[in-house]
Amino acid sequence: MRKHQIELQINGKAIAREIEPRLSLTDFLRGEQGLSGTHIGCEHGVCGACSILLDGVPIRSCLMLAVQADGHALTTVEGLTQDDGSPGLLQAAFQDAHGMQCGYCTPGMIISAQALLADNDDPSLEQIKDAIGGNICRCTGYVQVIESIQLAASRMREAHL
Amino acid sequence: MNTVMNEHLGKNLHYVAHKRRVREDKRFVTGKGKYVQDVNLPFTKHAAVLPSPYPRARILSIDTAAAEALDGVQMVLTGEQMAVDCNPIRLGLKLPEINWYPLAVGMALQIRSKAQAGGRLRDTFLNPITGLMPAVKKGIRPW
Repeated sequence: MRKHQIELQINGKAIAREIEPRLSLTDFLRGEQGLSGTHIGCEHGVCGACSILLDGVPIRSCLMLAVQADGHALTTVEGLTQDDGSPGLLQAAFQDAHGMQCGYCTPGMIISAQALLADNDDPSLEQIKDAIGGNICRCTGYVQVIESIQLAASRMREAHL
Repeated sequence: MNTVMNEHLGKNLHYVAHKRRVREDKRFVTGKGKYVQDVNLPFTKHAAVLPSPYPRARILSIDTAAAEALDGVQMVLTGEQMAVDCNPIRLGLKLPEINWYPLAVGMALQIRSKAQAGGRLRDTFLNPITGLMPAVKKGIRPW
């Protein structure tokens, strides 16, 4: 099968690869880039476990081919940590408010929350619910996810003051 | 409370009356969790089951040659071959005129060779499906 050359940015790092056109973006991230924080859940765009940021916009990486990401900047959950690898502000809030149970949906939740908080550091409850509306938590621990996002938002506001 | 108990018992009770932090959360929030999906052992095989596109049908024939010829496909099994070792598949499927085949037509297993990059494992897994479909469509006749 003919391979395609793609050049993209993943978590701030420039990457150039030759890949087969049928390779999904999730498989590219998990398999070729070793970024296994992006999870595969339903593989048809329903569960949100594979969410990543594409130029700052949350997308389902299972519904996109890796070749389509050519020229774009991607952010995965690994890209939201601090430089030393410790949890970033949003991740720390999820940790402190225990916004997870099994943790499988967590990377997707964090990506959706990141997109929300990027241009709104004081979201209403409805806005938070709407932002994570595309992420399914099979443990049904939504309340703590919402509290985590509220905690992150309050910390962001404090940091801005 | 804790101090009182410690004095009373003469011990240092780390876990009583203390708010404990969940330790595993850190790896979950940073994308370092380890799930079954993340375990990548050598010689791992992946399986794909292709069901009949028709709920009630009789399989006339299955041509697995196209699927077997694909790169990365190690084995293709038909439902008939699987039934030798997998009797439970037949359960509940003994209605008149309904063959049990339609629910387990073909199965493809492939192995990731050492030369293949990690991402190609699931990638090759998709091959047998596309490879089998035309054959199955030709071979199955809806009632």
